[in-house]
Amino acid sequence: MYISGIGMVSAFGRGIDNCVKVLREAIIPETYHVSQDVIAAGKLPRRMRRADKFSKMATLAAMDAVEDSKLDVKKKPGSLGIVLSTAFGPHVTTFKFLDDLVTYGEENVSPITFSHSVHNAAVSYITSAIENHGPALTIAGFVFAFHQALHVARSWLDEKRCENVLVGCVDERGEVSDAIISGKMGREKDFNIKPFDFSANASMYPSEGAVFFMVTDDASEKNYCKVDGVLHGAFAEDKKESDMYILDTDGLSGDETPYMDIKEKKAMISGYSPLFGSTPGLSAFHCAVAALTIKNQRVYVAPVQDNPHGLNLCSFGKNMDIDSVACIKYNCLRERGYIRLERSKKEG
Amino acid sequence: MDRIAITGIGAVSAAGGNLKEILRSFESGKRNAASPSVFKTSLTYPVFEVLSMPCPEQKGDRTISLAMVAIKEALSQAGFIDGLKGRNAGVCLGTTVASQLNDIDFYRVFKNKQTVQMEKIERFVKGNLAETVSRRVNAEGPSATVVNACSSGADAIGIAISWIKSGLCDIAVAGGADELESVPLCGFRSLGIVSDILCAPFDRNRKGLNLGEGAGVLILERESNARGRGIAPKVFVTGYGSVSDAYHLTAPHPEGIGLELALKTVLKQGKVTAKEVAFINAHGTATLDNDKVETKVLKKVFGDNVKFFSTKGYTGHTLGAAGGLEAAFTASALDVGWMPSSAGFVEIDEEIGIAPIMVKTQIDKKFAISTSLAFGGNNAALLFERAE
Repeated sequence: MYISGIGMVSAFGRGIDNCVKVLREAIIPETYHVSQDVIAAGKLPRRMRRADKFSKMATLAAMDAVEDSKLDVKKKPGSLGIVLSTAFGPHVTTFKFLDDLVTYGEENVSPITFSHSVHNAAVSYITSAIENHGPALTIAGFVFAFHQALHVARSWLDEKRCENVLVGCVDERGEVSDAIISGKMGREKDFNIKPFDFSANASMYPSEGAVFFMVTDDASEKNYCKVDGVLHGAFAEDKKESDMYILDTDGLSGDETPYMDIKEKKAMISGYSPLFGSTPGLSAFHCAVAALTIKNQRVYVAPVQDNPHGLNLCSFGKNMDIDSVACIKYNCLRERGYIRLERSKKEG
Repeated sequence: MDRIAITGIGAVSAAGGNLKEILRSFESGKRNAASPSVFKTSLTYPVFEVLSMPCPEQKGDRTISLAMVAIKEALSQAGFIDGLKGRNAGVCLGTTVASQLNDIDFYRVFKNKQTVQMEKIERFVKGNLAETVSRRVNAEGPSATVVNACSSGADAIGIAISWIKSGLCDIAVAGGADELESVPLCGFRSLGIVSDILCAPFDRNRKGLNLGEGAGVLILERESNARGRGIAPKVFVTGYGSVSDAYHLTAPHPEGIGLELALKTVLKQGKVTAKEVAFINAHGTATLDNDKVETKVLKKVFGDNVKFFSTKGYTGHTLGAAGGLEAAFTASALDVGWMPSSAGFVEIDEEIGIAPIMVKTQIDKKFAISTSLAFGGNNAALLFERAE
């Protein structure tokens, strides 16, 4: 399975070029919100005028991934599948619906708000925006949903249900979710994410965004890289060493001590959560960075250099030979998620 | 060809606490609907509650409880009484309500006091349906909770089939579960599609859907795997089609292009002609739009003599559970050899032009299809085959 296109929307803005700029210059954003200006400039279909931010972020990232891959969806509208993963879904809209319920009563709620509060509204808009008639679904999970989505994409390609799959991740911030995260962490948000402290009470700052990948079994030099392996669970062990490891240390799991295992690795270590913020979908953002690293044959400097455990940290950006990157994630039960990307080799 | 066998079926709904009871309700025509009692509401629309299930203290637990009732029945039938440890098993379940943070009391407290009830959040975050079930049945393979509105259960079964075919797991627990709750009742009511009387799928005087709750689950594995365990499968899933309308957020495409493609996909996958299909267990929600579009497509693909019915007259529309429950009913019907009447139907609608099955009817062919049409425009179809 190969990555042939990427689309992203985050605090840094929209698009791969913006992401590369942020990676090169290690620009930590002033706020971890996706700006409404970015959404407004997005040139979304007119039928999305009443859509919420969740659906708009998802659709922009998906459209960008399609464009980046150069796939002509209209040529074979049934041959593209879509899998969206999310932790909390369009919860801002859900809470707006609850607010209407509480404020105005059960008989006076908005059907438009209700329609947008269902988890698969975003995928519905994506199918309309790109005029696709293939299978489309949404998966919900709090830690490994993106890994699960990649598994679905893999099995759809294996069984030839689709020729390409748009697989991605979306999550949003809101007043209630910010309060939940602060309450869960037992403290105020700490803007200073420290990805390599591996603290038992890690600092975090909630964020939002969307990432989509076009994946395919069609090996081409234009692809970013190959998806060599995806695992999650209690037994998700590395089967191969990688040239570089990117850690999903954003503070959301609270206890990041399991990441101490990485000290055994001699390979280069990095983590870019300060650029994207703390989000359940960080694995997807890191997967995009890994793909860019391999495609561009360039490692990007870790934006925070505090290194109390003496890791082989990526201390400055440089061009180098990189064949493989693994993205590692732990949940609060010490179960592990693992996505390994590899440089595509010439077929034949 | 190593077909995907169904080695266990489990179901719980307002029609009964297990599959046997539900089939008895189908035979007798009994419909257990009443005003809501499992949640607080001022609305009095009829709903289909699982009265045998006591009300849990916490939101979200009910969906897991419903799922576990159906799963235990299915695992027992499949011969996995002690769970699935060491068997490379996956869990793929569909739901809607259980994945949404739509606890009204929680929000009211937050709005009034700016306080977050963290114990409710902990339960929510630790209560992802498929992950929780995986831990309870010791399934160590892949897991996924599908939240695709009304086709969630069917899509979950489709994903499980893909997993098995691609070698990600050998056995899968697949289907859907959903609990009744006031938020979807208010929401669907605001869309004008909830009936204030018992629903009547396909009927001329239908006024909309009734909500319901329940769980329907299949145990899936390759035929060779089942026979290796000494089980001779009675029914197989030989096709899964999933097609997006790409049309509208809530309404189906008026020509049903997505459903038509999904049906043609499963016929092609199963190498079956339309004439060989005994019946279609339709989505049949009793809304004006769904029933009109769905029957238009059924006539187009299968002809005017198509045999079809909806079981939502017995269970209500169980949202994320519907695809799973109806897959369970379709497979069971092929196994027992009869299809139920379409409860609530009395008079043909001229715009539809055909009538569903009105009496219990013997099945004379070995293939059947279950359809699910989701909010958001996804159309799912599952093809089932009875063993020779």
